[in-house]
Amino acid sequence: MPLARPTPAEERWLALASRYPSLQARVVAEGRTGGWSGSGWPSRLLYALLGIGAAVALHGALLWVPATGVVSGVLMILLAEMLVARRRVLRSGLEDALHACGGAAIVFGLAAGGPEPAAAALLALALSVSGLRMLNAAVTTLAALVASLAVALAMRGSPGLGLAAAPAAFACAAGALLALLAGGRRLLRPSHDRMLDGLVLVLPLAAWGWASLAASRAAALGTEPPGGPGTGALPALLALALGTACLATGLRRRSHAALLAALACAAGLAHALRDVLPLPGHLQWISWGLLLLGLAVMLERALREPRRGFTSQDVGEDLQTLELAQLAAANALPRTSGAGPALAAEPAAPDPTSGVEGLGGEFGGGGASGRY
Amino acid sequence: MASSACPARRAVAEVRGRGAGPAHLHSLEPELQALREASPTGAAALDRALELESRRLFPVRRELWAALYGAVLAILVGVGLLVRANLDRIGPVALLLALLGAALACHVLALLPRLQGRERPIGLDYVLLLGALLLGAAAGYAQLRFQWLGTHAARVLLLLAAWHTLVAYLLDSRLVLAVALGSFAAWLGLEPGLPALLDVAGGGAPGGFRGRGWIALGCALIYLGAALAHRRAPRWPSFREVYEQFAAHLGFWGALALAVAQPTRWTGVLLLAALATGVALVALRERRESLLVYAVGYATLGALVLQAQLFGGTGYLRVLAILGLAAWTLMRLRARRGAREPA
Repeated sequence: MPLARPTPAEERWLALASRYPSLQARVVAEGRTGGWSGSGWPSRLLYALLGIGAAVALHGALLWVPATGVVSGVLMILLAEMLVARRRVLRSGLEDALHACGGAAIVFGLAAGGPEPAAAALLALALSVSGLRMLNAAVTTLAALVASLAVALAMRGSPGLGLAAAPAAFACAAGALLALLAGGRRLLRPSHDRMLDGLVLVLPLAAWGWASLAASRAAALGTEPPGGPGTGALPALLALALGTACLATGLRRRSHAALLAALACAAGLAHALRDVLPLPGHLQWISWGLLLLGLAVMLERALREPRRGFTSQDVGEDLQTLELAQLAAANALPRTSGAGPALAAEPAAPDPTSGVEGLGGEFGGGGASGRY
Repeated sequence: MASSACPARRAVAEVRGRGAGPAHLHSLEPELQALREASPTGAAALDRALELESRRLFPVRRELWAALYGAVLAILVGVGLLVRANLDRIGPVALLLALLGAALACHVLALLPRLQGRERPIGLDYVLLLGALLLGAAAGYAQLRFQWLGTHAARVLLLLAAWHTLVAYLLDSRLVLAVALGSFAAWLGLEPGLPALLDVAGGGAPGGFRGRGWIALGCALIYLGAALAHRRAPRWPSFREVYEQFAAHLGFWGALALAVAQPTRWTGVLLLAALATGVALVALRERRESLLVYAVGYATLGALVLQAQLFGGTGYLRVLAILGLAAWTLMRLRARRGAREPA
């Protein structure tokens, strides 16, 4: 069965229509997408959930078959390929999820009972193949994270020991730098650009996360003080180095992924410095927050008129999904910041004259649970 | 096969063969130029797209949003730790005054552009959101320490909802309106998210599902009414969507909560089916992808809950059939909607 996928030129036209909704009708009229289309973010997310659920259900339904993992995995991949060929929807979410789950099922079917590092490496390989085949950046990014887990498993010495977090951190850092370097090449497919963007965005955070795990383990074992030289300083050093690289690259190439990664590294650096700075925790949080807020407000003000192309103004990008996400995120913020747990733990006695009384939940305002 | 005969190779050659090509790496300038050559109409949109593709113009709104959200979150976490850790040293009155002062300062800062007749920038949107949440912290803390509402602690939420609504309308802030609607729902006892509503972690009190289900539906009706009223309110055009989003989620949560409770199972199922149909019809008419996804997603969840209740066990084939049907429905609806957004 020939593998259906858009040519690079078709994919570029699809990307054009996706980036500029006002041009969609003209792109469709040009007819250069080869009959391919795509999904918006909300549909993609639901399709992915349905695909994962269907993959699990299919695997469960075939539990009576010998070599269930391999059989169900092959069926999932065949189903995904058939759907791609029939629907011609790029990165719909459904086919991608089925394909990735199929690869994972085959790996688990083959590697069950084998050494864990090999299984993790095989899973990373299967996800990479699936992501590259389906041109899905989320899957290739997940593959990179699983690969870092494989490094942590392989370098731990013996199976009884904990994960080797420091080598995994270095592997992630190296991956992030390689992705930054590779981003300097002209790639034909926008999806390949997105794959590199995914790595640039996630691997610095993963490096910081692994480094933090190594540092906390070293502190717990008493081999090093928190934030001390050696492993203790690794999270801060990695966050600083990767953040600087991402910031420089992001500014030079004008890349959103690199700039957002730099912001994430800044947050990681602030967290890593918590034991070094001579300030109590709450003051550190408030100070960093105020500093960031001040910088953002000043930057927004400074860039109202474009400076060297950078602008904070709305230039007609399609940011509808991001705006919805903002509303959801605003509701997820802590409402009463510390006072809430007591309110929630001591709900008011029901008032028979006033109808339903709330229980001091955190959904809206003052009675939050104070979870962060 | 000659390279020119292969479509993929021809496409590669086509893109590579544009001389120096775009100055920037992620650029779709060649396609935009081709579009311009094909049809000169819509030159303004093409010019703006070309500016963006060539990075002569680079908007940093995503980065600003991320930074502003992170800043507000960090400050609120710090305030939470401050309230809990430094109570004795600072004293409750001083702490309350500090919180109120900070909240007031944020509100005043956000008000300034309006007084000067300017549009409020997104940075001050988040300053206003911070002010609203700091006010919530102050009000909650005051109730905790001084019991200013007596035993009716949760009325703090109602007062906050009223205040936030007022501020949202005065200063035209969607973010603060979202906080207000969330506060009102919380006053009614509706925790955020479906798991909390269904009391998944706690095992659930059977009567509780029904109670919360009806309350969620009532709250959704109120928000739906507000959304309908906003169809004719040109002054706050963006508020309608906020009400609709809350109404949709709360309505579906309420119907699902009823469907989970055995005595109201079929009422909940019918309500869920009716809601899903209604929301899908609105989504199709107004080409709103998010509403379409809610309709199919929540209906699928309801079907899964129902099959688990009726048949028990794992029922992999039934689950597979439900999920397959859901995917097929979403495909059909999206095709009917005619809005298959290119990737």
